[in-house]
Amino acid sequence: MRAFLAPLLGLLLLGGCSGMEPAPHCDMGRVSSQRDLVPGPAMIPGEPSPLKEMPLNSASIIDANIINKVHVRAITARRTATGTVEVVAQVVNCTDFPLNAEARTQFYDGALSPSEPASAWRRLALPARAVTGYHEFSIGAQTVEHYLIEMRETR
Amino acid sequence: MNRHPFTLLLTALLLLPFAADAQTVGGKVPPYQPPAKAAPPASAETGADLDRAARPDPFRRRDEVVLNFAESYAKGGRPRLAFYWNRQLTDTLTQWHSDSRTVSTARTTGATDGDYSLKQQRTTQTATETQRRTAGSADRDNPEETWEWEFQDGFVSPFLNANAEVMDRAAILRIMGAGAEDFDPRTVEVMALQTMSDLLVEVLVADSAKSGSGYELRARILDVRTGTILAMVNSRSLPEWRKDGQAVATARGFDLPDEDDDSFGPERHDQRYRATSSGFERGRKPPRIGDVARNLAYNVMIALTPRLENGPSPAPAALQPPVPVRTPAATEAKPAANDSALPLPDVEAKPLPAPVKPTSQAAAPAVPSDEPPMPRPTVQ
Amino acid sequence: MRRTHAAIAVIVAGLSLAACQQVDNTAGAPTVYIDPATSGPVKGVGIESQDIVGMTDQMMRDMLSQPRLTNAATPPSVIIDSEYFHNESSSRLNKNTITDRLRIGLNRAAAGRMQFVGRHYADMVAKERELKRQGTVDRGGLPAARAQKGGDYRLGGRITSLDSRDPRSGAMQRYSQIVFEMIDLETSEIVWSGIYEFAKSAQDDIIYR
Repeated sequence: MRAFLAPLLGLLLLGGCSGMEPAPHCDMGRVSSQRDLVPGPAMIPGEPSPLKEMPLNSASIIDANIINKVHVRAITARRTATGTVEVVAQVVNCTDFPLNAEARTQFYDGALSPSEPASAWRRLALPARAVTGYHEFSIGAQTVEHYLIEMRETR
Repeated sequence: MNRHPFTLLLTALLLLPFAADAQTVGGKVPPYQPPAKAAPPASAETGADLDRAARPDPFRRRDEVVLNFAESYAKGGRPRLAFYWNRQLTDTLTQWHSDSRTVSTARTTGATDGDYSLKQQRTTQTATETQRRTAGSADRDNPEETWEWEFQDGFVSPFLNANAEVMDRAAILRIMGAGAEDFDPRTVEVMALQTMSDLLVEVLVADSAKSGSGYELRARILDVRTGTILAMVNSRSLPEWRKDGQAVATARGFDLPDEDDDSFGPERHDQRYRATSSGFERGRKPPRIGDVARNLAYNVMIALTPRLENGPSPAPAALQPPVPVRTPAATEAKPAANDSALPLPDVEAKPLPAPVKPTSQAAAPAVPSDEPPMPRPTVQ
Repeated sequence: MRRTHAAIAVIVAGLSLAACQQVDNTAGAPTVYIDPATSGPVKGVGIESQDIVGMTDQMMRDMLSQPRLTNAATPPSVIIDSEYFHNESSSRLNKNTITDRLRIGLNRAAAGRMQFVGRHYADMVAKERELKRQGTVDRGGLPAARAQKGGDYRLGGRITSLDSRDPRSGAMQRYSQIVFEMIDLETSEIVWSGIYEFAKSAQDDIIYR
């Protein structure tokens, strides 16, 4: 028991000595562990789909370069005054360096089919440790029921 | 085996926060509800003015002016109108003038002595005078011939429509001048005017950089018997030629007219838009010269109508026809044009008798002198 | 023991088969075609295809969320062309590329919520109308109109830029700003505005033709 206590105490002391890190603190281990991929649409009824992807109404970081650098904090969807859908996502840059990312949104109808062409890539300048908003409007109104945001690093 | 359930429970507890902290999955799209239609912006304007008829063209045909003029013209005794196209009636009496002369004087004196004495003295004088035709006042720069045709057509046609008696200058000059070739054409001109016309319509065209069309017009109506100016129309003062002074919409907004801008000119009433591949473009072409001339004629008619309403003007008392006889005494005493300016009764055009030619002996009196008098200008 | 060996052999074979079915995560065949929505191998500081695609898509979606434009009781007639869309920037580009893409995208997406006036085809329409009224051609099947359609709103806008260059390194930087506005053609009220801006920096500017 004493053999366990000594290194534990040492680690705690080390932690106390470390400087204060600016917020936000991104626990990427927890983020990745709880990433839940869902089966894609099955081509054959009754057969499980071989495709596993991000669930709808979510943001998927499709670039390995930034998957451990940014974190999509919250996504909301709302109807505009014309009935189109506006999705808003808050993207956190967890690094100490400014990043350039770009995102697009694909809107889907009730049958999980794309209701319109995917939006153009909208560039996001992500300042270090800052939260940046991303928003996109749908073209259609009545046909839009789901969305999927995709994000990658700007080349 | 006892520790196994504990481990599972611990793992589940550790995973719980993750499940509550789902980061990538967002909210669902709210169900669609048809939004209320946006009302059009409130405006008191009904847009009725969009359907109104187009504004009248200032250069349109105005038959009512012609009709009014025709009535007044009949009341005024149907005076004959002589049209002067771009020729100004000048105050120069003769067609020739001289501004220089060269006098060469030679004096020869000889004496011979002998049994008898003979004294001879001779003086020779030669005067050379350069004469040139007066220019710039009556004859003006003529515009292009086709331009002139269109202009004359536009100007004369309202008068012809009003059944006015329109005389041509060249024609009455030729008729009056037949057989009087030795006369100064200006004399013949006045004779022709006074015998074969009642009113002189003088239409002048002048180049003007300030005018949008590049020219200005002036029309003047003179009573040839009295010299009275009955009407005068200047294109600058015509409402159709004046700018409205309104702000002009440009790519930078509205441009107010420059205060120093005194430009003017005939403009199309509707500033027609032409359909082009890049949309509608405004046609800034000025109206046709025929329309402009007709508009000038209408304005002349309007100006003349009240004068004609008063009836024919009384003829002056002295009605002596100018005798086309030219004597040296008369020539030296006073210009013949003054006499001929007297009005004439209505005289039918007929060839005049051949005038008496001035005698050549009546030239400079041979008075020996160092400074000989100026010789009388000779007829061509 | 023999059963254990057999099981291991089956597992190994299965693993190796599974390895054959993995994603071949390598680059595809090279092609001259590139995604116009993504910057290609030739990159400069000017306005490029991905910018045009991005700005027109963004403006189109934004306009479609404006009730006065796309949810009016009477669908407005809009004119979208480059007649009043001015390029005052140092980028050389054809303005029609932007306005055409915007008009096409809007027209396809509007689905009757807006009506589009082809003002750049005015001469074509005028000619046909005149031919019909002269009797040279027949009147066609659709009802006649008193005049060509007038516009309720028209697109205006401006492209401006700010250039800077480091004389020591030759690096160039350009800030580009593209402004889109919809103007009420009766009152000159600006009923909608959109802005698209970006700044790019590169060692040396490429040549845009």
